[in-house]
Amino acid sequence: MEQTNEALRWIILFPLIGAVINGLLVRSKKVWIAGGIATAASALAFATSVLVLMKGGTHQVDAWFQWFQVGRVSVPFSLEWTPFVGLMLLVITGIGSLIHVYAIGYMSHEKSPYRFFSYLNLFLTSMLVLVLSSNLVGVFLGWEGVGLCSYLLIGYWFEKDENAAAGMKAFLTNRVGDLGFLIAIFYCISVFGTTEISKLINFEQSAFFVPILIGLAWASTGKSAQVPLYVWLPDAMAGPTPVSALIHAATMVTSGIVLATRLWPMFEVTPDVLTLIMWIGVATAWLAALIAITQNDIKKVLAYSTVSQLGFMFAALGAGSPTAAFFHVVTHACFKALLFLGAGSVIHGMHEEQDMRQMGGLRKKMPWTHITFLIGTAAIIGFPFSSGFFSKDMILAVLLERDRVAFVAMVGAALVTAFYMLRCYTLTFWGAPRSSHASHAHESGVLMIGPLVVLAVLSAFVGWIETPPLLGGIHALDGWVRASWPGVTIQSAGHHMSLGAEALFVLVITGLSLGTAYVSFKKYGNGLGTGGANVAIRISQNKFYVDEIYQVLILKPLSCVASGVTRFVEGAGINGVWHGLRDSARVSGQVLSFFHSGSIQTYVWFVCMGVALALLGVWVLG
Amino acid sequence: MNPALQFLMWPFVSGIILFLIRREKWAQWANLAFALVWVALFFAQLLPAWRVHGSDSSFPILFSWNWLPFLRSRFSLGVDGLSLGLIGLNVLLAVSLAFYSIGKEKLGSGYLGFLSLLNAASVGSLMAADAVAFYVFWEFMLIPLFILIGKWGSKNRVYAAMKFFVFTMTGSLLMLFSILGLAYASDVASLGWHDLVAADFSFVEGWGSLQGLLFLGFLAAFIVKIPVWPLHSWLPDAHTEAPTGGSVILAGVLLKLGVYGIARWCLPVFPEAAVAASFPMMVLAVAGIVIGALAAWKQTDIKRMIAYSSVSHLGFMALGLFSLNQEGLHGAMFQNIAHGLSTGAMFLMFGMIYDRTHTRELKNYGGLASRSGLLASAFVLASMASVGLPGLAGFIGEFLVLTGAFLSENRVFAFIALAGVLLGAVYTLALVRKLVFGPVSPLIEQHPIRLSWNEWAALMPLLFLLVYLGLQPQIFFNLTQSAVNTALQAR
Repeated sequence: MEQTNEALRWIILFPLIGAVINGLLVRSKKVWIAGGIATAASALAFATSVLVLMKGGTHQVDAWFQWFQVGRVSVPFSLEWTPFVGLMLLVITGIGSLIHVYAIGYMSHEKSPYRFFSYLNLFLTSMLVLVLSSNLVGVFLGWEGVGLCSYLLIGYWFEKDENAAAGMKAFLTNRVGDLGFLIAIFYCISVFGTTEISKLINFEQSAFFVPILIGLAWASTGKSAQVPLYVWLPDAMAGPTPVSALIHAATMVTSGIVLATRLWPMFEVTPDVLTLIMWIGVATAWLAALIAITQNDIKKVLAYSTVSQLGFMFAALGAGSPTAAFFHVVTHACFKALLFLGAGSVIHGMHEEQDMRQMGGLRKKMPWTHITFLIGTAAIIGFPFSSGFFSKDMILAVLLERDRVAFVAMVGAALVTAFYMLRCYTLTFWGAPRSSHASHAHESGVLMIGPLVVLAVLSAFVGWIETPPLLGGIHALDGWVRASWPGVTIQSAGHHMSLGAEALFVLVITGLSLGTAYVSFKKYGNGLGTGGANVAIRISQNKFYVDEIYQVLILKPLSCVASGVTRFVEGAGINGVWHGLRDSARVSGQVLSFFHSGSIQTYVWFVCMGVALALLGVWVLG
Repeated sequence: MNPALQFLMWPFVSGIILFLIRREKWAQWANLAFALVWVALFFAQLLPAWRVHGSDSSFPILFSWNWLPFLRSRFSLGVDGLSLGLIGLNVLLAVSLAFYSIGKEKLGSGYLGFLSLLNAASVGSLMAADAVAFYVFWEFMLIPLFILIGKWGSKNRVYAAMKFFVFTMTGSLLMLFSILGLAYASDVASLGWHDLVAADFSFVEGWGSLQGLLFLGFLAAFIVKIPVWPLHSWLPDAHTEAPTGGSVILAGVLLKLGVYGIARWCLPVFPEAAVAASFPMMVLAVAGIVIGALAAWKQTDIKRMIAYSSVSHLGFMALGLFSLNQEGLHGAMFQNIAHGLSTGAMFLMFGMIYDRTHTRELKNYGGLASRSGLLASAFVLASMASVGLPGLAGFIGEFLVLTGAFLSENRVFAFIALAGVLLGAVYTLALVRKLVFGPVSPLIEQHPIRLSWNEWAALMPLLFLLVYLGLQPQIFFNLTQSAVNTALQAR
């Protein structure tokens, strides 16, 4: 049932207006004013999302205006709401609003807060366009828009050269992915003559889907930080912490999963692409988890854990379950935003120190931060009955059904997750303070603690919207997601384990979590210790040398080619040929030396003579 | 007086008057007044005249005078969707430059006068509906720009001016041969555009036949002007040495005339030859895209870098033109405007910076954002439009050109051009990172850059249009639709 609802455009317009007011009109240096405007804009978008959700139905559209139409390319700027999109809107604007409130506290010492909040609102606008747009070109608008905001916010403290470099790395890596998106759009136009998602998912010629879906999957490895394009995300932590929470954990990086879910009927009938996506997810989950074990910067640990969790989502998609993937998007948005904001609170209390080796003992200094961080940690490691438990449980159930090897691999990755997160938690909050910053750390203000508490409650309980049979068999989320493809019936969305397997699974997970916690406390309760690093640890510390490998294999050769082209093709080659032509003709050489007199009169005279000669020629020949 | 003629004569007249005003300051203000009147003429005279004469018909003639009967040539002027956008851009850039020039030393009577004549010549070539009239204006463009570079340019100006002159003159001479060929070797009713389009030149024997030879002559002039690789070698020198006003008009209008010329003359008049030339031209186009981008990346001189970026972007336009379909041609025409705005704005902004710092070396710059926040934001906006960020004007043209290439018979070129999209981001972001971000360099420390009101007035319309056309491009496509149909009607 298609309904028209012009309220949809306001979800986008509110944050856009907020960005314009902050960035162009008011430009206030008072964090209360800038942050207040931005938060109000975000909250209004949230309220509108709720209203739209309450209107219900399964397919609301808002045909706004014709963006452009040329030949076979017709791109309306119109918005489309399905239940899945509606939930995503709540995640973006809801968590977005909380992070805006938090940022008022976090950015209170900034010189130009209006710039920060303007970018943040602009990001929300782009992200909402990405989610709401009814066609792929519109999605691409949002896709690139969030990339731009990410670039600007990573480089927010632009005086530091490494921040500018990190922003550039993020933009360029994403650009590599975006080429895949463009190719997918071109194939859609050339094969189906449309980029409207609601039309694309109704086509049945699955033979043509492969290049389109490969292109989109390629694009998603960029935006959603998967192997091989994940390298930008850890560096993106150079941005302010609220940005890391909102953009580089909760929302933007899940774009790939959002996109795939919206196009799910196409993916579903293309199993080869799904298998590829699944293995990309498995590889990413493992690689990032192994790197996270040895990182000492608290934000770096969280960054690699984000990459790893995104790998879980990809694996779920690849195994054939958009519900499981999206479930993890929702729970991850809550607990990872919580963890990042908690880390931000720690960094704030520690006077901008991010190295966990300098922390320790913060549980007494920062009780609220500690307890909320603990809840977040429990959720991310999938401790039974936390939100992360339910979503991970569903992912593993789906994998068990699809591919045993992948299942075992992801159980292992989940175990590594538990290990590095407990290491992070222990190093930060337990033991004795290991620096003067740590012994003088202070709890953050209510603007920062408030959002932490809300997110902690969400992280604890949001998992109950979709539970396995053993725990009540609630299928609210699956029902919503299944209703999100108008006119299409899909074969499978979610899957759960049987009662017996589930019970066994809960016991095993509980045991493993507690065991890992014990090991972690034993090992890291008093800091890192002084043990030497063996080869495996060094490889992990150096992030498997992936950046260096890319440098040697791609960037250096490309740079050499560019220098070569500049020097030999452009310089010696083409310019050389033209100069040779000039010099070889003796007569023209003399003429040229005459021209080189530097006297304007001579030039004008020659020009006039030239024109006169030409005109004379015309006349004579006539 | 005829509205089209009046609109065209105005910059001629103002140029001549400007030569007579000896006081620098008076000339600058007079120039601004002339430019604003020109805008008024555009909206009050040219647009209504175009509407009256049928905005749907292709290239309506607004003025005609039988000046060279022995050549079967009439001096006729017309306007249609193909040229209207570029004329508007030219007027806009003239106003921008007029605002920019106020209060600048050494930008007095002669400089402003030649700039005005340059505008007159370029608008003349955009309005000419007769081959000979077109050629006269086309040639006339050379003179003012040659002088602008040669007299008001920087250190190597004479070399650059000569190189520019020799290259473009060679191309133009070949076009002259073609026009003479049209007059004497063919049996067309007249050299007017409509008669040429209606005529049917033989292409039975391929490139040796009449259509082939005539086409090549026209093409030569246009691909030197665009410039298509490897004929571009004059452009980096000309851009680097030209004064700001010369660079802006060169990038904003003159290069575009090459693209316009192909769409106006080559495609509709010589349809079979255009099809035959499609493949080799697309090869050269993608070569320009990739090589131009690679070379731009490695430049150390900021103006030279922007110049090479033009080579790469104009490659996109050539690619769109020779995709020979609706998407590609519309894309190329739109990109024409978008690139004029973004590159025009970048040259203008760098001109303002250069006026204070007097160096073009990128390595001396850094941290503009810390000292001049708004200017830095404006520069980032123009850069993003230049890399084709959706929502800004640059995206629409680039996207349609790539779509056009993808839908053409040679899909592979779309994939190669995509590499150019990536490389475009590489060099542009490298420029932004060094110039705008990072620690404040001593140069920026010593020369704080506070733009004056008139400099902002010069920039604002360009920046606004970059956003507006990015979101509302359809107003442009509604204009170009019928003209593009004409250009492609032989297929």
